[in-house]
Amino acid sequence: MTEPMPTSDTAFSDAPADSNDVTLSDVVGAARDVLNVMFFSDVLEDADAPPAPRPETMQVYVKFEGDGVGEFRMEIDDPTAESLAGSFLGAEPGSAPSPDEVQQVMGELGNMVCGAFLSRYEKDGLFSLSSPTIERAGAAMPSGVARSLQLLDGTMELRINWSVPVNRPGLPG
Amino acid sequence: MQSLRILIVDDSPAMRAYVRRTVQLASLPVKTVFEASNGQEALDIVNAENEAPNKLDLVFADLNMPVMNGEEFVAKLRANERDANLPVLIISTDATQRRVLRLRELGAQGYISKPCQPEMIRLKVHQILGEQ
Repeated sequence: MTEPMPTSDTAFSDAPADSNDVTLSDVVGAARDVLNVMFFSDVLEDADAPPAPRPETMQVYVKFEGDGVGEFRMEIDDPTAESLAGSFLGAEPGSAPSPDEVQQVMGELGNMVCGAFLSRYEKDGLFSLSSPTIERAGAAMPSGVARSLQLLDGTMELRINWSVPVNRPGLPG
Repeated sequence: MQSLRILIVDDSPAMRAYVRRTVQLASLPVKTVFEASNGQEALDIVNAENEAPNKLDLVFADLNMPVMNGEEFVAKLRANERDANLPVLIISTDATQRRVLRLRELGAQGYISKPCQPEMIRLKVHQILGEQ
Protein backbone atom coordinates (compact mmCIF):
# COMPACT_ATOMS: atom_id res chain seq x y z
CA MET A 1 0.00 0.00 0.00
CA THR A 2 1.36 3.45 -0.86
CA GLU A 3 1.24 6.42 1.49
CA PRO A 4 -1.11 9.27 0.40
CA MET A 5 0.77 12.16 -1.17
CA PRO A 6 0.66 15.40 0.84
CA THR A 7 -1.02 18.23 -1.03
CA SER A 8 0.52 21.61 -1.79
CA ASP A 9 -1.43 23.51 0.87
CA THR A 10 -0.26 21.20 3.61
CA ALA A 11 2.35 23.20 5.48
CA PHE A 12 3.78 20.04 6.96
CA SER A 13 4.38 18.44 3.58
CA ASP A 14 8.14 18.75 3.92
CA ALA A 15 8.30 18.47 7.68
CA PRO A 16 10.11 15.58 9.31
CA ALA A 17 7.83 12.76 10.42
CA ASP A 18 8.53 13.39 14.10
CA SER A 19 7.17 16.96 13.80
CA ASN A 20 3.85 15.60 12.62
CA ASP A 21 3.92 13.12 15.48
CA VAL A 22 4.38 15.95 17.96
CA THR A 23 1.48 17.87 16.40
CA LEU A 24 -0.77 14.83 16.43
CA SER A 25 -0.07 14.08 20.06
CA ASP A 26 -0.78 17.73 20.92
CA VAL A 27 -4.08 17.69 19.01
CA VAL A 28 -5.21 14.45 20.62
CA GLY A 29 -3.97 15.57 24.05
CA ALA A 30 -5.84 18.86 23.78
CA ALA A 31 -9.06 17.08 22.79
CA ARG A 32 -8.63 14.54 25.56
CA ASP A 33 -8.21 17.28 28.20
CA VAL A 34 -11.22 19.28 27.02
CA LEU A 35 -13.46 16.22 26.70
CA ASN A 36 -12.43 14.85 30.08
CA VAL A 37 -12.79 17.99 32.11
CA MET A 38 -15.74 19.76 30.53
CA PHE A 39 -17.70 17.06 28.71
CA PHE A 40 -17.22 14.08 31.03
CA SER A 41 -16.17 11.98 28.05
CA ASP A 42 -12.96 10.24 27.11
CA VAL A 43 -10.95 9.33 24.04
CA LEU A 44 -10.91 5.53 23.86
CA GLU A 45 -8.57 5.35 20.88
CA ASP A 46 -7.27 7.48 18.04
CA ALA A 47 -6.39 6.54 14.50
CA ASP A 48 -5.66 7.99 11.06
CA ALA A 49 -8.59 10.10 9.89
CA PRO A 50 -10.86 8.66 7.19
CA PRO A 51 -10.34 10.19 3.73
CA ALA A 52 -13.99 10.86 2.83
CA PRO A 53 -16.69 12.97 4.52
CA ARG A 54 -19.27 11.01 6.42
CA PRO A 55 -23.04 11.63 6.32
CA GLU A 56 -24.98 13.02 9.31
CA THR A 57 -22.12 15.06 10.64
CA MET A 58 -21.38 18.70 11.36
CA GLN A 59 -18.12 20.49 10.80
CA VAL A 60 -16.80 23.19 13.11
CA TYR A 61 -13.91 25.33 12.01
CA VAL A 62 -11.84 27.94 13.79
CA LYS A 63 -9.22 30.07 12.06
CA PHE A 64 -6.21 31.27 14.00
CA GLU A 65 -3.52 33.84 13.34
CA GLY A 66 -0.59 35.38 15.16
CA ASP A 67 2.67 33.49 15.61
CA GLY A 68 1.28 30.91 13.20
CA VAL A 69 -1.64 31.09 10.77
CA GLY A 70 -4.00 28.27 10.01
CA GLU A 71 -7.27 26.55 10.60
CA PHE A 72 -8.62 23.90 12.94
CA ARG A 73 -11.49 21.70 11.81
CA MET A 74 -13.56 19.23 13.73
CA GLU A 75 -16.11 16.85 12.23
CA ILE A 76 -18.53 15.13 14.52
CA ASP A 77 -21.49 12.75 14.23
CA ASP A 78 -24.89 14.20 15.10
CA PRO A 79 -25.65 11.69 17.91
CA THR A 80 -22.19 12.26 19.38
CA ALA A 81 -22.65 16.03 19.22
CA GLU A 82 -26.02 15.78 20.96
CA SER A 83 -24.65 13.54 23.68
CA LEU A 84 -21.65 15.79 24.35
CA ALA A 85 -23.83 18.92 24.36
CA GLY A 86 -26.12 17.31 26.93
CA SER A 87 -23.16 16.54 29.18
CA PHE A 88 -21.75 20.05 28.84
CA LEU A 89 -25.05 21.73 29.66
CA GLY A 90 -25.89 19.33 32.48
CA ALA A 91 -29.08 18.18 30.75
CA GLU A 92 -31.39 16.00 32.82
CA PRO A 93 -31.56 12.32 31.77
CA GLY A 94 -34.17 11.91 29.04
CA SER A 95 -34.05 15.55 27.94
CA ALA A 96 -32.11 16.45 24.83
CA PRO A 97 -30.55 19.83 24.04
CA SER A 98 -32.11 21.80 21.17
CA PRO A 99 -30.37 21.87 17.76
CA ASP A 100 -29.30 25.48 18.47
CA GLU A 101 -27.79 24.46 21.79
CA VAL A 102 -25.96 21.54 20.16
CA GLN A 103 -24.45 23.91 17.58
CA GLN A 104 -23.44 26.44 20.24
CA VAL A 105 -21.78 23.78 22.35
CA MET A 106 -19.99 22.21 19.37
CA GLY A 107 -18.71 25.67 18.43
CA GLU A 108 -17.39 26.07 21.96
CA LEU A 109 -15.85 22.58 21.86
CA GLY A 110 -14.04 23.45 18.61
CA ASN A 111 -12.87 26.73 20.11
CA MET A 112 -11.59 25.05 23.26
CA VAL A 113 -9.77 22.21 21.49
CA CYS A 114 -8.13 24.64 19.05
CA GLY A 115 -7.08 26.98 21.88
CA ALA A 116 -5.83 24.11 24.03
CA PHE A 117 -3.86 22.72 21.08
CA LEU A 118 -2.17 26.07 20.36
CA SER A 119 -1.35 26.58 24.04
CA ARG A 120 0.26 23.13 24.16
CA TYR A 121 2.00 23.41 20.83
CA GLU A 122 3.43 26.90 21.22
CA LYS A 123 3.44 27.92 24.90
CA ASP A 124 5.19 31.23 24.20
CA GLY A 125 3.09 32.11 21.17
CA LEU A 126 0.37 34.69 20.79
CA PHE A 127 -2.66 33.80 18.69
CA SER A 128 -6.10 35.16 18.03
CA LEU A 129 -8.93 32.80 17.15
CA SER A 130 -11.95 33.47 14.95
CA SER A 131 -15.42 32.73 16.21
CA PRO A 132 -16.28 29.11 15.43
CA THR A 133 -18.22 28.49 12.21
CA ILE A 134 -20.55 25.52 11.83
CA GLU A 135 -21.27 23.77 8.56
CA ARG A 136 -23.17 20.67 7.67
CA ALA A 137 -20.79 18.04 6.36
CA GLY A 138 -20.67 17.34 2.68
CA ALA A 139 -17.54 19.12 1.61
CA ALA A 140 -14.37 17.13 1.97
CA MET A 141 -12.27 18.05 4.95
CA PRO A 142 -9.21 20.04 3.85
CA SER A 143 -5.79 18.46 3.98
CA GLY A 144 -3.62 18.73 7.03
CA VAL A 145 -2.59 16.84 10.12
CA ALA A 146 -5.63 14.80 11.06
CA ARG A 147 -6.77 12.27 13.59
CA SER A 148 -9.98 10.35 14.11
CA LEU A 149 -11.04 9.82 17.73
CA GLN A 150 -13.24 7.11 19.16
CA LEU A 151 -15.03 8.56 22.19
CA LEU A 152 -17.29 7.06 24.82
CA ASP A 153 -20.09 8.91 22.99
CA GLY A 154 -19.19 8.23 19.34
CA THR A 155 -16.61 9.46 16.86
CA MET A 156 -15.05 12.75 15.87
CA GLU A 157 -12.30 13.86 13.51
CA LEU A 158 -9.82 16.64 14.19
CA ARG A 159 -7.67 18.39 11.59
CA ILE A 160 -5.05 21.13 11.82
CA ASN A 161 -3.91 23.07 8.76
CA TRP A 162 -1.11 25.62 8.82
CA SER A 163 -0.80 28.21 6.04
CA VAL A 164 2.03 29.92 7.93
CA PRO A 165 3.38 27.52 10.52
CA VAL A 166 4.97 28.48 13.80
CA ASN A 167 8.68 28.97 13.20
CA ARG A 168 10.29 26.40 15.45
CA PRO A 169 13.02 23.83 15.04
CA GLY A 170 11.95 20.85 12.98
CA LEU A 171 9.20 22.69 11.12
CA PRO A 172 9.39 24.55 7.83
CA GLY A 173 9.26 28.31 8.44
CA MET B 1 -17.99 35.28 51.92
CA GLN B 2 -20.83 37.73 51.27
CA SER B 3 -23.55 37.10 48.67
CA LEU B 4 -22.07 37.87 45.29
CA ARG B 5 -23.32 39.87 42.33
CA ILE B 6 -21.46 38.57 39.33
CA LEU B 7 -21.25 39.35 35.62
CA ILE B 8 -20.49 36.63 33.04
CA VAL B 9 -19.15 37.94 29.72
CA ASP B 10 -18.93 35.49 26.83
CA ASP B 11 -20.26 35.52 23.27
CA SER B 12 -21.21 31.85 23.54
CA PRO B 13 -24.57 31.31 25.29
CA ALA B 14 -23.46 27.72 25.91
CA MET B 15 -20.33 28.89 27.72
CA ARG B 16 -22.29 31.43 29.78
CA ALA B 17 -24.62 28.61 30.82
CA TYR B 18 -21.60 26.45 31.68
CA VAL B 19 -20.00 29.14 33.86
CA ARG B 20 -23.34 29.82 35.57
CA ARG B 21 -23.76 26.13 36.34
CA THR B 22 -20.14 25.73 37.37
CA VAL B 23 -20.38 28.64 39.80
CA GLN B 24 -23.37 26.90 41.39
CA LEU B 25 -21.51 23.57 41.52
CA ALA B 26 -18.59 25.35 43.16
CA SER B 27 -20.93 26.34 46.01
CA LEU B 28 -20.15 30.02 45.69
CA PRO B 29 -22.74 32.28 47.39
CA VAL B 30 -24.01 33.91 44.21
CA LYS B 31 -27.04 36.15 44.64
CA THR B 32 -27.39 37.81 41.22
CA VAL B 33 -25.99 36.84 37.81
CA PHE B 34 -25.76 39.35 34.95
CA GLU B 35 -24.77 38.24 31.46
CA ALA B 36 -23.20 40.02 28.50
CA SER B 37 -22.15 38.70 25.10
CA ASN B 38 -19.22 41.08 24.53
CA GLY B 39 -17.06 43.67 26.27
CA GLN B 40 -19.21 46.64 25.28
CA GLU B 41 -22.38 45.08 26.70
CA ALA B 42 -20.39 44.26 29.82
CA LEU B 43 -19.23 47.88 30.20
CA ASP B 44 -22.84 49.04 29.83
CA ILE B 45 -23.90 46.69 32.65
CA VAL B 46 -20.98 47.74 34.86
CA ASN B 47 -21.85 51.40 34.28
CA ALA B 48 -25.50 50.82 35.17
CA GLU B 49 -24.90 48.58 38.18
CA ASN B 50 -21.94 50.31 39.72
CA GLU B 51 -23.87 53.57 39.96
CA ALA B 52 -26.22 51.73 42.32
CA PRO B 53 -25.51 51.03 46.01
CA ASN B 54 -25.13 47.28 45.40
CA LYS B 55 -22.15 47.12 43.13
CA LEU B 56 -20.86 44.12 41.20
CA ASP B 57 -18.44 41.89 43.10
CA LEU B 58 -16.78 39.93 40.30
CA VAL B 59 -16.63 39.64 36.51
CA PHE B 60 -15.94 36.40 34.62
CA ALA B 61 -14.81 37.31 31.10
CA ASP B 62 -13.85 35.50 27.93
CA LEU B 63 -11.17 36.94 25.65
CA ASN B 64 -12.25 36.16 22.14
CA MET B 65 -15.49 38.08 21.53
CA PRO B 66 -16.93 40.25 18.74
CA VAL B 67 -17.54 44.03 19.10
CA MET B 68 -15.17 44.35 22.08
CA ASN B 69 -12.83 41.58 23.15
CA GLY B 70 -11.77 40.71 26.68
CA GLU B 71 -8.50 42.64 26.61
CA GLU B 72 -10.18 45.86 25.48
CA PHE B 73 -12.85 45.35 28.10
CA VAL B 74 -10.31 45.04 30.94
CA ALA B 75 -8.34 48.04 29.65
CA LYS B 76 -11.47 50.26 29.45
CA LEU B 77 -12.68 49.07 32.83
CA ARG B 78 -9.37 49.95 34.44
CA ALA B 79 -9.39 53.37 32.77
CA ASN B 80 -12.39 54.33 34.92
CA GLU B 81 -11.26 55.09 38.47
CA ARG B 82 -14.59 53.93 39.90
CA ASP B 83 -14.08 50.41 38.51
CA ALA B 84 -10.34 50.18 38.86
CA ASN B 85 -10.62 47.54 41.58
CA LEU B 86 -13.56 45.51 40.27
CA PRO B 87 -12.10 41.98 40.13
CA VAL B 88 -11.97 40.37 36.69
CA LEU B 89 -11.33 36.65 36.26
CA ILE B 90 -10.54 35.69 32.68
CA ILE B 91 -11.70 32.25 31.52
CA SER B 92 -10.31 31.48 28.09
CA THR B 93 -8.87 28.81 25.85
CA ASP B 94 -5.84 30.98 25.15
CA ALA B 95 -3.37 30.01 27.85
CA THR B 96 -0.09 31.01 26.23
CA GLN B 97 2.34 32.65 28.66
CA ARG B 98 2.49 35.91 26.70
CA ARG B 99 -1.28 36.28 26.80
CA VAL B 100 -1.47 35.65 30.53
CA LEU B 101 1.31 38.17 31.14
CA ARG B 102 -0.42 40.75 28.98
CA LEU B 103 -3.69 40.32 30.86
CA ARG B 104 -1.94 40.70 34.19
CA GLU B 105 -0.39 43.95 32.97
CA LEU B 106 -3.81 45.18 31.86
CA GLY B 107 -5.19 44.56 35.32
CA ALA B 108 -7.01 41.22 35.28
CA GLN B 109 -6.79 39.64 38.74
CA GLY B 110 -6.99 36.04 37.66
CA TYR B 111 -6.78 33.72 34.72
CA ILE B 112 -8.23 30.26 34.20
CA SER B 113 -7.60 28.34 31.03
CA LYS B 114 -10.32 26.15 29.58
CA PRO B 115 -10.85 23.30 30.18
CA CYS B 116 -11.51 24.15 33.79
CA GLN B 117 -13.15 22.35 36.69
CA PRO B 118 -15.56 23.90 39.23
CA GLU B 119 -12.96 23.46 41.99
CA MET B 120 -10.47 25.59 40.09
CA ILE B 121 -13.04 28.37 39.70
CA ARG B 122 -13.95 28.16 43.40
CA LEU B 123 -10.29 28.42 44.44
CA LYS B 124 -9.60 31.35 42.15
CA VAL B 125 -12.68 33.26 43.30
CA HIS B 126 -11.72 32.77 46.94
CA GLN B 127 -8.16 33.80 46.15
CA ILE B 128 -9.26 36.96 44.33
CA LEU B 129 -11.98 38.05 46.72
CA GLY B 130 -9.83 37.18 49.71
CA GLU B 131 -7.33 39.72 48.50
CA GLN B 132 -9.91 42.49 48.40
